[in-house]
Amino acid sequence: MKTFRSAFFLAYKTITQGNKSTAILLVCILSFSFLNILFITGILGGLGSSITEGVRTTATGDIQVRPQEEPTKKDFIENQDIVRAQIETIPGVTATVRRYSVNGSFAYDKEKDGKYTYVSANVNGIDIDEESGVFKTAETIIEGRMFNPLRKDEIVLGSGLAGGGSGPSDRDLGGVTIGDKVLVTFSSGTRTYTVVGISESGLGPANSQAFVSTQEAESILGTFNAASSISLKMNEEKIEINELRDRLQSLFPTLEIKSYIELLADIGTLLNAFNLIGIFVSVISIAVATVTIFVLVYVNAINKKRQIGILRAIGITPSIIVYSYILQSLFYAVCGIAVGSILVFGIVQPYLNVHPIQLPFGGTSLVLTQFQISYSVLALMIAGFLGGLVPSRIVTKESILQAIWG
Amino acid sequence: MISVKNLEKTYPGAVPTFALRGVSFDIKKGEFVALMGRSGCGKSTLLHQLGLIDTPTAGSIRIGGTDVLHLSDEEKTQFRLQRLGYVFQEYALIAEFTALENVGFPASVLHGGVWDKDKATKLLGLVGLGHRLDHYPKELSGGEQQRVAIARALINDPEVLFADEATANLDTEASVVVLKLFQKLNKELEQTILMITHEPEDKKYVDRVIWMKDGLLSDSESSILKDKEI
Repeated sequence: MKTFRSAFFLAYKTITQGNKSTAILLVCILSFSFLNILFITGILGGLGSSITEGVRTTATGDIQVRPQEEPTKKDFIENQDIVRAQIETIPGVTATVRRYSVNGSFAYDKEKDGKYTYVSANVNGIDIDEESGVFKTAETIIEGRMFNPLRKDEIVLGSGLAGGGSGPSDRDLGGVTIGDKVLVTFSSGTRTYTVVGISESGLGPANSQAFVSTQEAESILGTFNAASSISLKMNEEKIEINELRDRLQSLFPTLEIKSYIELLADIGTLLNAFNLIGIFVSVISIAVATVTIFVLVYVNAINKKRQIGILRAIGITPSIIVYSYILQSLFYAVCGIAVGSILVFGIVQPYLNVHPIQLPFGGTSLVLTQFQISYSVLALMIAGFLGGLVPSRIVTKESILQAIWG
Repeated sequence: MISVKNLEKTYPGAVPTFALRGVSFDIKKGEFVALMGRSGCGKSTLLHQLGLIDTPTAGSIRIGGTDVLHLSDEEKTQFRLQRLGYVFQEYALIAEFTALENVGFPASVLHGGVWDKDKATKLLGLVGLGHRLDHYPKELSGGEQQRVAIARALINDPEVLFADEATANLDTEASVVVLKLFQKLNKELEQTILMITHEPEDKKYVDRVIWMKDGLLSDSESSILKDKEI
């Protein structure tokens, strides 16, 4: 503690009376290193989060119930009203919704010249009144309106299916506009629909689908009171997701029940790759920050070698000198973290919240967990500690006369 | 106060340099001694060994009854801080400290971070810088900086004050001020001082001169004067 007090005074005076340009340079480098670590991990986190959130709010819900696979594969969940009523009795389940899903071949004659563009896509039969309890389908309409549930000839196309956004593609219809007619061929026959809306969600693949009313889907499939899937929304404060899944599975042993986490298993590999990239970039950033602090502190210590030699000659212990350099480096690291935090949380994150980066997976902003922030702060503090310790140890290891004479 | 016996210092190399070849002498408490000789005769090397900032090859040094060469590095550091004062040729002050802080810092280190500003102020007053307490080294002249360095060397009441050509970089007027200051410290505080100097006229300020030649003590000034260079 006594040594620390003297070291603190030495560090304080060196910082307040020392070279301001070096101090500003150090703080700038450290703040940009901090920004770099948080930006990369935050963007990758945001990407993972937007994919996950997109899947949850447009495709799966928190938990999805599907028809039985074993021993006999079934196409639908029968008596969906009874199944949903039973699900809704479980505490923690806040809403359920059913969907029909059927594949269709779309045909669109843009120029009305008999030349059709054909694309296969999934058609969802949804109940727009119930949909909002689990999904954000209604919020995804970017053009036109949602179909009228009483009209069987209206359809909403995903923007990726409608096309026309970024040039021709063999996976879209080439630019369908509101009011256009599209022909859709199902196994039960061909139907004509009027496009009344274009939807676009954050999740790219969800934009390559179409939506019709439940009644129309039942008409296409020749079924009633069934579902291709039942999705549910839950309150995670009341029940843990795996516990709910297990309860549902015991309640409906023949149905296939999966949480969104399990359904994201394929995307999980991608998310893990993002994590790895994030860790890799963070480690490089921290290494660069450490080496930079090391070089600047070392050059500073070399320039003050004679002063360090004199301090030792008059009886100042090497530990006081080393501690003072460590304290200086930690001070600059704290300043770098503070400035970096202002840049990240005061400028970059608010900006990206308003103007997300558009990627094929959807719009992405910075998503940072408490752990990632703490880890970045700790990493930079360790970088500061090592950047102060190593050079000052090297210089104080020299003999006093060598230090004084240079 | 100081007892040196057969002190040797050899710098290794393809051709070893024998800087000290068996130097022995004593200095009594309260003596003001000048160490003189031509350049390269080993004066600074001897002072470095006495100031514990270098380690001799052979011999012994006792300061105030302590066999200093048998101290550990940590003990030597503590000994330098507590019992020795050292004034360098160049004004070796900490640029970021004021005059008061430069003087007071070694004492605060000795007393676990507790500052004795009164004592530092008093010492700066003693060296004639009572009005320059809050000035930084860059705001002081060379002579003033050297006087701050002297005050710093005295802050922990050292048993011996070593001065390594403390006036070499000063003009005549400033040199006289510093030398008179040493004389005053010696007379009034009975401060033991060993000072390296090249100037023959500095002899008038000291009690005794130790002459050196080629790494050895010389009997008298005459043998050195034959070389017509001091």
